[in-house]
Amino acid sequence: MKQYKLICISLLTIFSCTEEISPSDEFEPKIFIFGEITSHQDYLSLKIGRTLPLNNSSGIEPLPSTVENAEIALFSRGNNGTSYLVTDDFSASLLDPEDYISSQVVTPIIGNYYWIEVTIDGIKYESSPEQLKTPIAVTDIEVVGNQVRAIFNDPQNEINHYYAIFNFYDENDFFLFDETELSNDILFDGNENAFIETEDTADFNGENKYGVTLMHLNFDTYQFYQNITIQNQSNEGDEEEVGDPGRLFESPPTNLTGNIINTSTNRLILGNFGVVSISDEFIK
Amino acid sequence: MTFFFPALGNEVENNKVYFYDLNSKLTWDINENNKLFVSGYFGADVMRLKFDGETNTDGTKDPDEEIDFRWKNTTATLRWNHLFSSKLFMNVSGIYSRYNYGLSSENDGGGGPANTSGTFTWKSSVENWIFKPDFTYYVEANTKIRFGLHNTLYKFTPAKIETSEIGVSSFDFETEKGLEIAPYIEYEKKWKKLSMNAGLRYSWFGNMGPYTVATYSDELPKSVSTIVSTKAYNSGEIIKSYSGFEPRLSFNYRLKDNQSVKLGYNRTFQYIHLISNTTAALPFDIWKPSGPHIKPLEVNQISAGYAYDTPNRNYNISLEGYYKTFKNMVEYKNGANLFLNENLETQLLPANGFAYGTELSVFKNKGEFTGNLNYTYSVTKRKTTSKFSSQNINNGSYYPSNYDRPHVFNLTSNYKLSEKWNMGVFFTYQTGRPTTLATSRFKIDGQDFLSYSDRNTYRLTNTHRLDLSFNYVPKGNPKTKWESSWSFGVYNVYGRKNAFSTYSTFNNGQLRSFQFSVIGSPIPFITYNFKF
Repeated sequence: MKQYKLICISLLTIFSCTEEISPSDEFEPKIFIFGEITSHQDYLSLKIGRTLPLNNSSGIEPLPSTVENAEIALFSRGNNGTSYLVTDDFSASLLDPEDYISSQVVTPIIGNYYWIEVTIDGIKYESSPEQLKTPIAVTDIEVVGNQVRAIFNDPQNEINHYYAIFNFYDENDFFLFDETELSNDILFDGNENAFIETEDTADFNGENKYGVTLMHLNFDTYQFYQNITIQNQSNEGDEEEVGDPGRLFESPPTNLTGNIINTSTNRLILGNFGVVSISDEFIK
Repeated sequence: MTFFFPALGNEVENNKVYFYDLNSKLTWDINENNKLFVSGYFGADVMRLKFDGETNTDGTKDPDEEIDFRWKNTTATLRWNHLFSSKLFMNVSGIYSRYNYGLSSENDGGGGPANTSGTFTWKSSVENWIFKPDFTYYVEANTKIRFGLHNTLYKFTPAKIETSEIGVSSFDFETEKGLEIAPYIEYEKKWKKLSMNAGLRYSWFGNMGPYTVATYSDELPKSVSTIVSTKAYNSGEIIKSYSGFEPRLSFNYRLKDNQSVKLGYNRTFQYIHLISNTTAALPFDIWKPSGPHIKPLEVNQISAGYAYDTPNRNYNISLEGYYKTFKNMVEYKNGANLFLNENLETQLLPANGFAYGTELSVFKNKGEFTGNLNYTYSVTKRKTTSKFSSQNINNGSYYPSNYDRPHVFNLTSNYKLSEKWNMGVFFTYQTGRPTTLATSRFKIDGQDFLSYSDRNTYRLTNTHRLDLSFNYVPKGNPKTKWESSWSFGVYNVYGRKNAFSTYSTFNNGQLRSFQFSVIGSPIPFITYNFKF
């Protein structure tokens, strides 16, 4: 017998809700190492520290948990396949003990691979080598509504990854704020008018000056930046305790692990050492 | 059926959400030995949103925009039933099914760099063509043999994007095709106390061109930067094939009139994988055939059970147990990006797993009060098996799957209040599902971040819920065969806020943690059922 079932009236009212709870008491201290070498000649800076407990009832900003006497070495490998030490002379900053800075300026070479080795308490942490790519220049900037768009020529037949930094200045060239956008070239592979644009920028004033710097990333670093973006979006606070149905479709939380492993355990640690080429800032 | 959003103001008053389903079935009795069945189904869900352009700070106005989402399901079946003799008959089916979704947007000027109008269309689909002749041969009254051949052609179109926007390139992710061929034979025999079902299926699956396959360095984890070459396969060319025997064997032995035991084993291969790492399913989830980088899932299961009826048959009790192993599951890397990703394999990890459990059920089948009580204890775990240990989740150790809920207790009961009224009660208590928690924090360049535990190391709080319903069943009209009933009730009677997830956020550097519940209050409902 055929059977048809019809829900005729449904007073289904979904009242999803969100309640504030105490932060977890669980605490797993971890080492983190963050840094990047760019195509610009500069001192190399690395952020090295330990994570802090979530629970902080004091209401006072907790002091960073610093790592003392980290030994750092920057290596490179050229086209001939020979690896060499670039520098191992780093020291912690007096102002910020989490900040380790090279004592000499590093002059990067386009096409070379770079990586770091960091030793903390006898344990060695090592990043995977990344190549310093050719910088991609911004060719124009356009304003579409409240969005600023950086135009550039995306190289054909290769997968490229970008991180665009949009700087906003007032009429006296004073920096006001910046916005960043991450993109691969799936939607504009090989396009001469490829573009990356900001979100709708409510703060934007049409009379401002704006500048764009385009960072050309390796895939691993792109994925790391993407992890940062995912976590930032997830961490964005909402004052109101209302149900958010979007939480239904969330992916597992993203740890900010990149290309650095603990060589003793062979596990990825928090952080990343990126090798990034940077275009000159295009200002309009 | 169409729904509008009048209460949401002018911005969305032109928005529409509607769905429709069409079913049809036609039977043709050609003669006493031949019958033909034709059936079809078509369904669609559509959401159309219209946005008025906003006015910018410089006084210019953004273009109006229209966005259209739609999901469609189509199935067509042709079945021929033929009796060769009183002992042998055949069903031959030809089935076509298609699931497709689309997203399109159109603005009326100003979207492009030169203030031009633009359109953007995204299409994706999964199509199956199935041809399966099935035969049943009755050797004798208690013995029958089934055999046949199942053939399925799969076609997956992950994403096809067409656009007229300047600066955006149209692209078409390559269609993936797969062919599955599976002959099978099954022998069923009943003796006085023992019955047996023995079957053997051999399945072959081929991933077919045209398709371009990337080869990755053996020395490094898969990523787009470790692609060493690509190879283009021609139409119909087999890219990678898999095959295997899928045996099944089960016994049921009647100890007494009211007691029986059963034992079974089976192995299956699954050649199609759902690629999704969200907690709940999304219409945009991706389906991918096994191929050079994804092996078929192999599942082996043994199970055993005992069933007992009380002498008066008022109660039925059963106890069952199982143990399963999973080989070649698909898991996801930390921060896996599955959206519009042409090299999905770079985001995936191979995994193995196991599950075991036992289930105790008590049924009361007779009297004014009927119902069942059910308790399950189960464990389901997995571990990733990448040869690059740094890629493995939780350092390659076993961890609970998202569905691991060791204790599940369900109670369903029905009480007859009168000839026309009855009352239903449902109660459930379950262990909270595994979750990954933030366990520490750190700051980089003034920005706060969280560090998370190993995947699924912790559990959400246990969940429980009570539903209550009252059902009214009026006497049917014997002339029209029309039967109907009404149900009135409340879902989640005491408004339990069961945790679906917990998360933490930073607000001006201040950490706050929250628990999200999908349903956080009692929900009344009214249902009208009818059949004819």
